[in-house]
Amino acid sequence: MASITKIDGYRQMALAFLKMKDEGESELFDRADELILRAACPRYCFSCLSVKLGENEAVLGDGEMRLYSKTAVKHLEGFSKAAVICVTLGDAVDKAILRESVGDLALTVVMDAVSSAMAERSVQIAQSLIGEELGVKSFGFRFSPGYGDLGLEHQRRILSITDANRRIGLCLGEADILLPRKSVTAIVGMC
Amino acid sequence: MLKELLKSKRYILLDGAMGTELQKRGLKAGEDPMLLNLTSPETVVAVHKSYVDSGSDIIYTNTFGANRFKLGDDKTVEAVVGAAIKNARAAAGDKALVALDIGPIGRLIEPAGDMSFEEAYGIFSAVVSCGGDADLVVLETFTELYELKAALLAVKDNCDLPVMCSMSFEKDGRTFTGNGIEQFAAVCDCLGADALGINCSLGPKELRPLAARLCACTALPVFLKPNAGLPDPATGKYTMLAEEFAKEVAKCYCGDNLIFGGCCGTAPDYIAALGSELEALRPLPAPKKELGCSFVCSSTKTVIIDGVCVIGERINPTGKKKMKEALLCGDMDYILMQAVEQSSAGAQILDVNVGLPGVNEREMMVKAVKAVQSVSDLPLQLDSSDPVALEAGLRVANGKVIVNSVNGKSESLDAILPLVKKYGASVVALTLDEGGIPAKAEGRFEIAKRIVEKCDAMGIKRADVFVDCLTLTVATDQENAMETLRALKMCKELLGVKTVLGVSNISFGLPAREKINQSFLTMAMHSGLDLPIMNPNNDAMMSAVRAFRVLTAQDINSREYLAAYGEAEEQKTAVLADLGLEACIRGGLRSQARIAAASLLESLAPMDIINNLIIPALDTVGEGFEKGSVFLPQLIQCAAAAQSAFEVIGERISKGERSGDKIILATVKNDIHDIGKNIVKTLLENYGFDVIDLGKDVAPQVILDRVREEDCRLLGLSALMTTTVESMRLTVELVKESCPQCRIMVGGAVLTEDYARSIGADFYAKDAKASCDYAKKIFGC
Repeated sequence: MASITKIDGYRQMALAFLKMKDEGESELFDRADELILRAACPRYCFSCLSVKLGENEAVLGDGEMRLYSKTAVKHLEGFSKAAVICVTLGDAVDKAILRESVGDLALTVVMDAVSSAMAERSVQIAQSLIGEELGVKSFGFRFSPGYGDLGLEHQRRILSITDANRRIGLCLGEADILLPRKSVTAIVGMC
Repeated sequence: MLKELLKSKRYILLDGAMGTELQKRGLKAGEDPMLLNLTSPETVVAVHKSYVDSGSDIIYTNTFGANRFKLGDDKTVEAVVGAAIKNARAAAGDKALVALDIGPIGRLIEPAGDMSFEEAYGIFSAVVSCGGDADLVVLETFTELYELKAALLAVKDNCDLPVMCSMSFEKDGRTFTGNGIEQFAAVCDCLGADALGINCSLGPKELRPLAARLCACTALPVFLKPNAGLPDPATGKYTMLAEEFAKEVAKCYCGDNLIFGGCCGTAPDYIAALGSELEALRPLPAPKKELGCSFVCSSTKTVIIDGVCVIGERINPTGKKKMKEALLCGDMDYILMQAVEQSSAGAQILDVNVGLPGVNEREMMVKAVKAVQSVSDLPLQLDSSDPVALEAGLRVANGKVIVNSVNGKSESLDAILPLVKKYGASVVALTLDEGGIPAKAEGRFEIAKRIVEKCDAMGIKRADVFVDCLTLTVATDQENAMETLRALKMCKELLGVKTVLGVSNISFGLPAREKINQSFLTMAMHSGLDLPIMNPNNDAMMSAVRAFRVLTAQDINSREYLAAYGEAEEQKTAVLADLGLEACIRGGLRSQARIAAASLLESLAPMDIINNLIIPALDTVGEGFEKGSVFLPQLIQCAAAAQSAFEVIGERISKGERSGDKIILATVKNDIHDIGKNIVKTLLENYGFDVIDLGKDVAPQVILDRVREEDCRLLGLSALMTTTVESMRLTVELVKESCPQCRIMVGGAVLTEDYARSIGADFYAKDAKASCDYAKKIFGC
């Protein structure tokens, strides 16, 4: 488990989530930033596994994870190893959003977009940190369950392989929703 | 047995890691270690024996994840737990005690998660019920205090075994979910744990300062099970060797108990090395601990009562029309708003009172406590005269709470104090008895003394008794104020207890009540009042508290006072004085819209304002949203501004003047996303619809029952995940079958028009505006 000490570069993504070109009067966004940054405790964990590819299946490790997915095969082509990454901002972010939803729905909507963008950006940062740690020369295209034909049912195995529940407090709820909610899992080939 | 062991030995060795030892003996990656209890018991026995031979005095059964959620059903749990205890017993013989090991369930508990407290309690109860053959229970590796409370209650309710509790903390002394060491110690101590510990997450070096903190805040035995250092990030393997591990663990000894073991990365040789190290350790004097202070806590915040602490009184229906209405119709949002406002206004503890004729107090107490805990980190005071409601609240409260209240009547003492003792709460003691409220201070003091002595006899600490000498109005007898203050002083000085008072009664029946209340509050604080129960939103009262804290040096460097009053407030509204209501709504200006609406009511009829000004403004904003010149946050701000105007106008409209057509909204079963639904709700209410919001994760049958009950013509369903659209399909099917007259509109990021059609929905709403337009069409507006 490792912590991410600084997250930046997520404002544009947050605007995109809200289908906005710019933040207009930035007071709402600044306030959302302040509240989310105060609550967020970004952590990540990962596992490195070998990759063997079949026609429609990618096998990670010694059969520890089988991805029956053309998407996975496509994006792991050419890589002998993959990192399975789990990131969470922690449940204090969910509580902060719930708290503000009582009085200010507009602020809540912006906080929701900002924290989702922050979670996505955290995966990028985690990937860079992993790359530095392991001396990775290059990464492939990073993808997550729910992308292409890689179903959400793979989340359970991802959490199990990375021991994400114990290492960063990440769980699955009913219907395979990641909890805390501002969390992301991803797989990326590396060499 | 645990107590005897602690008395008989200078140090106690726990065991080390189980999983890695099983892997060395053939457990494959991905294979469930718990099932080896059944499929390969000799392997499990061999691991246990290796720890017993290395000196372990207590071995943990191989049942860390043995629960209904991980194993599928209670029958398998029973089989695994039974076999695990048998295997451990076979290895332990008479050399070691067997501890039933219970870890977290693996799901996140409410409010952030989708597992209810009751569900967690049920899962743990099933495990404990089949673990009676163990010598003790250990609850370990918890990272959420609420879940640990559910487990601890399950142990206490289902067996008589001693129980050791340990949590995993990060380096900053907090768990993943923000629980601090002090809150962990307080809650588990309250509920009767026999030992407290820290395990996993960290190595011995990192754990040492946390161990010192835990020792400082509890008189219970403390146990530690660190990992073998920190894992290599690339391989996940632990590299600290046995000798170094043992030396570092031994450094955690601070004169307190010596109960140590190892967690991830450790093995029998680590335990043997630890034994040698502890054997050679020179005993230190037991550390001095300051444990007698009065305090309460939530799961993340401790409030030590060593100066004036404000208890917010607003969550109470007495004399509050809006709160009564909210309780009668189950409007938790209103209660949440009161909790958030009081927290922001400076309350340090929140009183929760939901007693009202027509309300099931027990059910509402549970709902209210859970709701308030979800938005506030302040400790709670549970306020009820019904022991059943109190106990229900005590069970689900996440922290150490105050029970309001017990009094000198024997009926009250018999019903309330056992609850206070069982759940380790603090208690407000009212100075009244069968004879009523004594007129003189001496009489009230005698009742307080009797209650305090009864608490002493039951083992309820004085630090947990807060005496309320009761405030009676000076309008009927001017002696009342000084008698209350004299009684307060006597109780504080002679009984050594903290004092509490609801101050606003003092002025009942007089005009300009605030002036009397403020002075009485100041006099009471000077007489020793610790816990005023008051409205923190009232600046006159809060300023009295803040000023008192400055004058008594409680507010060091007047920091809080300067933060509250240091900067003059800018007059933001002056420039905007001439903005009309429409402009205020289009600009999303909430407070200005309210002022403009109030002003217009002097010259225009309410319905004219709504139909000719507010609705057109909302329509303009809605069109802008459709065209892409207005974005979602602005749309919501405009809707909020319109709502604040409606709040002013609403009192002047009689029922029936607005359409009031009912629309039911819900997020479907298993889906917990609700922001989109809430936006739709806000817009629909602006257009005069009576929205019944069933919330999130709502079962199809619940939705159908409400559609029938309300004879509803329009239902809105929201789902945001591909895995929950199936719940949407089932709900649509169920409702259409029984209530074909009800139209159904569906929305959510993953939906498409095609899917909506395929499941039988009548309308696919691509956004909130589209939902409003459809509703207007259905009801012919």
